[in-house]
Amino acid sequence: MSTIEFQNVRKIYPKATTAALADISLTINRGEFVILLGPSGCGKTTLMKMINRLIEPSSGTILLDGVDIQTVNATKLRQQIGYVIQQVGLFPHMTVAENIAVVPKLLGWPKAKIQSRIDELLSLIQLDPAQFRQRYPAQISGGQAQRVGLARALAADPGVMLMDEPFGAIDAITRTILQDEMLRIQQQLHKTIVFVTHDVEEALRLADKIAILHEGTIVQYDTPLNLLRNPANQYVAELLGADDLVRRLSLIQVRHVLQPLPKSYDANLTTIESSHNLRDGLNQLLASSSDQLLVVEHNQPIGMLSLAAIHAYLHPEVIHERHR
Amino acid sequence: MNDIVDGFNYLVTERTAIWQLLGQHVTISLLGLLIASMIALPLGLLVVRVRWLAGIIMALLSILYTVPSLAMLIMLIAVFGLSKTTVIVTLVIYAQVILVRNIVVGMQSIDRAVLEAARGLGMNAWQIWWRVELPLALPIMLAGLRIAAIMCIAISSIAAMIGVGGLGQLLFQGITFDRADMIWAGTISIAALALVCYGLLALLEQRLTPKI
Repeated sequence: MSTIEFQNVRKIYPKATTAALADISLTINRGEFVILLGPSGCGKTTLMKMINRLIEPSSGTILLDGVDIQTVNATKLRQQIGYVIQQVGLFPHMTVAENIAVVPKLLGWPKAKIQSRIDELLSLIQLDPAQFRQRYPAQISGGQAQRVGLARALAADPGVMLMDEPFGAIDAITRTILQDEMLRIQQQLHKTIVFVTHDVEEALRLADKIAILHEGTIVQYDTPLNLLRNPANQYVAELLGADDLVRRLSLIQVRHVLQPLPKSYDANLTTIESSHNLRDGLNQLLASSSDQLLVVEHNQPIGMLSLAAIHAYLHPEVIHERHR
Repeated sequence: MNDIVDGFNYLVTERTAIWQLLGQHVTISLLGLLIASMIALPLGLLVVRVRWLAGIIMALLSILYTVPSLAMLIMLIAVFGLSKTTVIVTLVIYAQVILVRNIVVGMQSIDRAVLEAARGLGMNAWQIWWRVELPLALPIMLAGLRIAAIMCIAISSIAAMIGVGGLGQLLFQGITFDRADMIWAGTISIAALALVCYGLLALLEQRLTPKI
C-alpha cells in the first residue's frame, strides 16, 4: 500500500517531435485500484512504466511514498513493485513454483519462508499447489499462466502492483473470471494498483478511479460513476459510451437506490441482493411479473427496488441528492 | 575391403603411436575450440547488444569463413611459422563464425516478454544473463559448439601436413608411402574421434536443455 505521485512529468522520446507525455500531474492514493485508460499511443503504458523506472521521464518527479524514485536503485525499486504484463513472460525453464520464487530469492528470503509463500500464493490464485507447483509454463493454460504471473508479482508482498493489459490476450470468458478474481484479491490485499487497459468495460468494472489519457495528457481522472455522469468533454463521453444508460446502471449497487421497506409487503416478490448492480436489478424487474423487487442483505429484506426508482436515479437533477 | 581390415590391423599393431597422434589431435582441437569459445562468447553478446556492430562483425566472420582452410593455414604460416599456433589460430577463426552465429540466434530466440518480466521484477543485468538468458540460449549455443568441435577435428587433420602431428599424419604419410592401411587407419580413427565427440556434446546438450 503506497502512494504514487507524478509531479509535472514529461516524456519526449529521442527524435520524436511531440511529447509522449506532456506535463502529467497525478496522485494515486494508497490502496486504490487506478486504471489508465486510452487508445494505443496515448501514453498510458509509458506513464505506468515510469513508476518502476523501465522508462525514465524527460523531466518532472515521481514520488513513491514521498520518496523521489530517482534516488532509489532501479533494481531495488522494481523488487518492491509487482509487475504483470500482457504476454505474462513466465520463465519457461522454471517450474511454476520457481517462477513465483524469483523475487523472494532476489531478496534473499529463507528457503522455508519462500516455500510456504509459494503455497499461500497458489491457494490465493486458486491453483492447487500439489498439482501446479512442479509444472512448467508450457504445461498450463493461458489463463492459468496469467494467474501464475499475478502470483509471481505478488510474491514479495509489494505495496504497488503495475499491470500492463494483463488480461488483453485472454479469451472473453476466462477474462471475466480473472477480473472477478482480481477484485476478490484486491478486496483481500488492498494493494495500490496501476492497471493499463484500452478495454472500457474492463476499466469500468475494476477501477476505483480511471485516468483517461489522450495524446499524452490526462483528460479526466475520477471514479467510473462520476466519469459517466459528468464526462469532461466529448472525447471522454464517446470513449466511455456515457450515453449508454444501461452501462451506467451496471456501476451502481442496488443498495444505493433502494426504497424503504413498507409495513406490509408481498413476501413472494422476486428478491435481489443489495450488492448486485442496477443492471441486474433492471433485468430482473423486466423478467418478473411484478413492478417491484424485494432487496435482501444477509437473507433479510431491507427495502424495495422499483422501475420508478431506477428511472428517478437516472435523472439526478431531480433525485440526485436524496440517494447519495 | 581388405584395405579396411588392414587399416584396423594397423590401428591395433601401432596403437602406441596412434594414442600419441590421438593425444596431439585432441589437444590441438580442444585448445582451438576453447580459445574460440572464449572469444566467441563476448563477441556474440556484443553482437546481440550492439545492433549496428552485428552487421559488420557477422560479415567479417563470414568472409573469413569462405577462405579455404588450406589457404588459411598457408597464409598463417607466414605469420606464425610451422607451429601449433598456426593451426590453433586457424581453428579459432573458423569456429568463430559458427559459435558467434549460434550465440546470437540463441539469444534472439528468447521471448522478449520473458526478458521484460525479468527486468520488471528487479533482476540486474548479471542476474538476467545468468538465470534467464544463459539457460534459455544454452541449447542453441551448445549446438554451435558441437558443429564447431567437428570442424576443429576436421581441420586439425589437414594441419598434420605442416608437421604438428595428429591423426592426419597417418593420411599424409599413407599417401607419401602409398600405404592404403595407413590411410584407412587415419580415416577410421578421425571419424571415430568425430563421432565420439559429437555424441558426448549431444549428451551434454540434452542434459543442459531445460525440461519443458
